[in-house]
Amino acid sequence: MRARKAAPYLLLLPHILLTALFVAGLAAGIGQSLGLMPALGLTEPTLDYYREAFTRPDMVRAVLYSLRTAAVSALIATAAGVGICAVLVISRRTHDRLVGLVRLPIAVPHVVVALLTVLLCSQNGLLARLACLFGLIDEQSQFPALLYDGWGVGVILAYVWKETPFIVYFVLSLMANIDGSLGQTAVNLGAGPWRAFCRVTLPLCRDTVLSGFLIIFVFALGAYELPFLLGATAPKALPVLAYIEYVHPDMHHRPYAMALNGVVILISVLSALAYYALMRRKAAALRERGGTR
Amino acid sequence: MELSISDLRVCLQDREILHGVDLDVADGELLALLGQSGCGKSTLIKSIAGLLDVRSGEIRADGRSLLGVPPERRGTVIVFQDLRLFPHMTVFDNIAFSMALKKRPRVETAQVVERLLEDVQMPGYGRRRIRELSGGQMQRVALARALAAEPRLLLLDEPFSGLNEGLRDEMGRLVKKLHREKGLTTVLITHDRQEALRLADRVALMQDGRILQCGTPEEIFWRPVSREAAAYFGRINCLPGRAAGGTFSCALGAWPCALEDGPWTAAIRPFDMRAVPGGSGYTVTGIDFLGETAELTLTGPAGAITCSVTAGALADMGLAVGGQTGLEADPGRAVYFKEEART
Amino acid sequence: MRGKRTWSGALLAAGAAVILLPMLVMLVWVFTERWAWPALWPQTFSLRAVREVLHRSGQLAAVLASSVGISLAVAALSVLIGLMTARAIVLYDFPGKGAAAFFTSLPLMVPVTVFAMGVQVTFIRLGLNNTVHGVIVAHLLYSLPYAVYLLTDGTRALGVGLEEQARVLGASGLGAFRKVTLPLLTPVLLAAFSMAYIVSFSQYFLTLLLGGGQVKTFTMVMVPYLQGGERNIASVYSAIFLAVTFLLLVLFEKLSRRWMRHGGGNFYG
Repeated sequence: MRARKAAPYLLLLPHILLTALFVAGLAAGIGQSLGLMPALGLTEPTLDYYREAFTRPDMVRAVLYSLRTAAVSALIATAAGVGICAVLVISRRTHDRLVGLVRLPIAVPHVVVALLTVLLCSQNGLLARLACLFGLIDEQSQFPALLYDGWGVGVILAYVWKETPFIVYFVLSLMANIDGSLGQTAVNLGAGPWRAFCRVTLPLCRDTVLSGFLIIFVFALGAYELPFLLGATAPKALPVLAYIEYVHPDMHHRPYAMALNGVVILISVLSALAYYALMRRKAAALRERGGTR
Repeated sequence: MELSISDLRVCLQDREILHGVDLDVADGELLALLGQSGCGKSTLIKSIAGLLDVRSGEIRADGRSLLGVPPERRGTVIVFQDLRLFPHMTVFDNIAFSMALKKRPRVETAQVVERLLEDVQMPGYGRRRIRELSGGQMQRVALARALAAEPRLLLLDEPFSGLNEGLRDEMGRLVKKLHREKGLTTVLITHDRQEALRLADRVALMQDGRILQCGTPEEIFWRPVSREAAAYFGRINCLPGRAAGGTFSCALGAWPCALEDGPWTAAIRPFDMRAVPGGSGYTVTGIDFLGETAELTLTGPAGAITCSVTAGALADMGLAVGGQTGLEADPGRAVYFKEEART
Repeated sequence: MRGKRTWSGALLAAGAAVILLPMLVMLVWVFTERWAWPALWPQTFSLRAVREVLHRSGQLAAVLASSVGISLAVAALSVLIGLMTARAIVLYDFPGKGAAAFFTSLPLMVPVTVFAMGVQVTFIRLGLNNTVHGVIVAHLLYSLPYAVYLLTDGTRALGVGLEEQARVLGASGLGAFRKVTLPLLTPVLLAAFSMAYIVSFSQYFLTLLLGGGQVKTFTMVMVPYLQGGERNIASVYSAIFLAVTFLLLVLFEKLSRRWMRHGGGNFYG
């Protein structure tokens, strides 16, 4: 009987060790953001670095830039992903061979996505050449600067290309299941397919859609590759600026990096709690629908 | 195997499901565990098989405690309601599962499986896949798989509940036949009283995590220990009355009895009530025609009384709703329950 | 009805084009020598870039081996630890279960940059910094949530019923798991393995910071070419590594399909 009580903890042991390492990393980061670096003789906690993060112009612009690109790309990807799912579910094409293609962008590393974006969207990329072919522009320089621009259009486009398929992958099977049972009931009761989808299927998938949104939002907020490879020199993305401060030869710059990271952690932890709440609700809903004996 | 359970308490997710169950099953017996869904039947057999932790109490097999013995070493095999055939194996591999675990020689295994398939009337089905089988065939395979494990105690958890009536009867007969031939000790869970009465050597009535009564089908039917136990076998008429000096009197009359003086209730089954056409005192307020039999509802001094008659008798009586009739009871068949003395 | 079919068909085709076009352009770049504005098609093709990459085949092979090796190790560990975690969370009730479930998904919500900069001090102290082990551990932390997610769903869907049945038929706890759960869960295990592999294979920042340039993976090699504007060499590297990845993924998919078609494993003959 004692073995049985201990069993779940034994099974969790490797995960607990990894989690300990993970939390230690986060704690160290938070500690440094509060100015705690015993190696440099800094032992007094202070909020100065955060204060600077919210006043130093390049830092403020980095925070805003990252929040904007992450939010815009995650919103577009989620909306597009759900829209594609809706069309697939309603037209009963969820098992079409072409749908399998969504797994392709998921498997493409972000650095390759950056390369693809350059090949397509730069001022001498394929899109610019097409624009020229159709007589929209004559010179390369007339093509809008999508890359290395202050708005991060190229970064957003790259994220949308990569994350829309992720949302489809994340949501589609659940949506197809729900629509297959309850959605058809609604259609049977007289609702049109779109109405049934919006009134029945979509609300039931809401938690999963929201958690998918949170995953890609937080990812885009803190990812380094795309803004590093496709972003402008100013404003810099939050993680890019944080890394510059982090590797600064003067170790006293490190708390700035950590304060920037602290801002991300704050947003992340709120997202994590929201994600966890959503997952619990989903698990509870599944249990309810499964019924208990 | 002789099974003996005493004061068994089992909790599921901190809620007590079994509140002190006492039950004995004799070696070679077929015991039916009868009760409504949610009364704890499944919890009881899962506890016997070692799949659930026991809070307190004792489960003994041939005098030796089973508590702490892992499920695979108890020899108590369950055929679950949902059958739980292994979908990734053929019929043969399902049945041979326990023999493969025991590393029996292949030739012997093949012979045993073939014989069991014949026993459950599915010869030659060994190579089939599970998803190619009908519901009735799956039930037979599940039964054969359980038998192949050479159970000391076979536990059947409503395995026929998904079948239509004809197949149910057939499976019931098959189970009884195999039980006899192989000298098994069997506990059959069911919520169907007909099935319990027809198949079992003894019936244990279960309600709300307790055993209400345990006895032969005849005992359970004719001598219920409580109103709940009596009610389990269909409608029963309850006639409040008094016993005094060896006579019981109630609204239907008075007859001799062997009861101590005081308030008693006589419970009489509908078939032991007799409508007397041409008599008076009772109005026919309902006739439910059930085919071979019919149930009359007669309302009068004793309240609304249910009275069963054969279809032929009903036709002969010529009764109609609203008509008048007399009513008699067969006092010899009455069961008496003591009422708390009221002041 | 017909209108709806064509409509959704057009959408599917458009989606497929958006996904495939960039990758085809990349393939063209592999063989491109000169592609002047504003032509839609390169003027000169050559194998120069391919040859240049293959010329340093020693380096290519080494990077391929360490990159694929690290990702395979991460995927295997993710599936193993993920399965243990999923079973603990789905099949048992125990104090702290909620916290365990929370921590399994936490890395999904904490960007790699934040974690990597925070944990480096700890990594140095543990001797994991600039080592292959360290990179594997770091990748594992970020692959695991996806594996746990898939395996939790799979374990929940399979339920405990068949294992219970195997137990009462005489199988030990481990035996029931091995003979019933493992074969039935194989497609999910393969899916989790693929996903973990992809997540690990895509990592750049974790490898950059915690590998410290000592651990050469595909992304490490590829980024300098991209920064240097050498589109054709970057394309060659990307094409080779994507080909390897897709080959592996197709292999897993085929295995999984085969398994499903045969209804799982067959133990006795």
